[in-house]
Amino acid sequence: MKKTVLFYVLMGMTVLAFAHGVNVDVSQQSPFIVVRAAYSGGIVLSGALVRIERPGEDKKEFQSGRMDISGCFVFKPDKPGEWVIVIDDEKGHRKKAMVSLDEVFFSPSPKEQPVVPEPEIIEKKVPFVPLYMKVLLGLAFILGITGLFYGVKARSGKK
Amino acid sequence: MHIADGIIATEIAIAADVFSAGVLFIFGKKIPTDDVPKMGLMAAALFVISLVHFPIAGTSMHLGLFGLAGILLGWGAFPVIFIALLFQSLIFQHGGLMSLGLNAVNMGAGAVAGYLIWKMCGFPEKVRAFLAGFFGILIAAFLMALEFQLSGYGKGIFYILYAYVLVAGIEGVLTASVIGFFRRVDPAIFKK
Repeated sequence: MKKTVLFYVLMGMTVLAFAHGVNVDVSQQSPFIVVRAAYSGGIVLSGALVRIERPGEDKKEFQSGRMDISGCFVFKPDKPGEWVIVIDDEKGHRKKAMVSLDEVFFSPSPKEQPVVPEPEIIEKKVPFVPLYMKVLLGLAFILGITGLFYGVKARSGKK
Repeated sequence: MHIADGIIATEIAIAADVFSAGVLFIFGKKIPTDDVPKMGLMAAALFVISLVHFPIAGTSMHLGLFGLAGILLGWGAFPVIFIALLFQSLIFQHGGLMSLGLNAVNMGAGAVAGYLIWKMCGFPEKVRAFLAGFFGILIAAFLMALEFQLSGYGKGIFYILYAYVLVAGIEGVLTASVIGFFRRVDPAIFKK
């Protein structure tokens, strides 16, 4: 029995070493947009299908293709607005990302461009929360709700 | 396994939301008080298990424990799965709030299938537990693939099932092992 308990304890510990989900990074490198995607565990989505939709043309395909071996996809947008990027690994994982492009992105070559002041970098004030903290937070919520629900049910005397 | 928002056709997502709200209401009212702690612990296990993922066939897959939930909770597995999915969506961004009903229907169907296999089959207990775990995840994967197909994504259906067979095998072995463990240490957990 001790072995069985130990097995489950060890298996539980592996939880904190892995994460699941898809992370997408979209970077603007005028005149191109570079899309990178990886599972939360770090494995890149090589070969995943990518579908690009133009601004204002809902669900209409502008371009599609597959990510390269390093989980990268590059495309050249042709107008400002909010572009939609849908990534699909064809095995149940899909992620939708948006990128908003303004006129500056489409300005001609750097020599002809008017001098634009460096945009002010606004730091995202989203605190980084480690995975184990998220796990503990979720468990606390679930067990807390269970306790509350149990208390309410027990008091109301419904069986 | 978790479908994100905006992927499946809106009509299908809304229909699944309405359906799961109905099922939640019906089964939520029937929960016996004594089952609440067991349901809470099962919800905690389901919440955490989706973080254990395996790199299979170039993708990332995870366990679900749907069959185990079905065996231990019967129809009560549905509200438990719904709550676990809600917190997975809020905290880990697995799935989404719009597609919560859709994911709950897929995985809840897996749990119900696991429960029916556990109750109906004439096989030995460990075999039933294995089959419940195996088909619990496979049915959830099948429904997910079907929804993708209905939303016009096409072709992936058979490939998804093929990739999930291995995960289903692992899930089956785990379920049989856990059920064997519970049978030894606390057989009363199976009373219904």
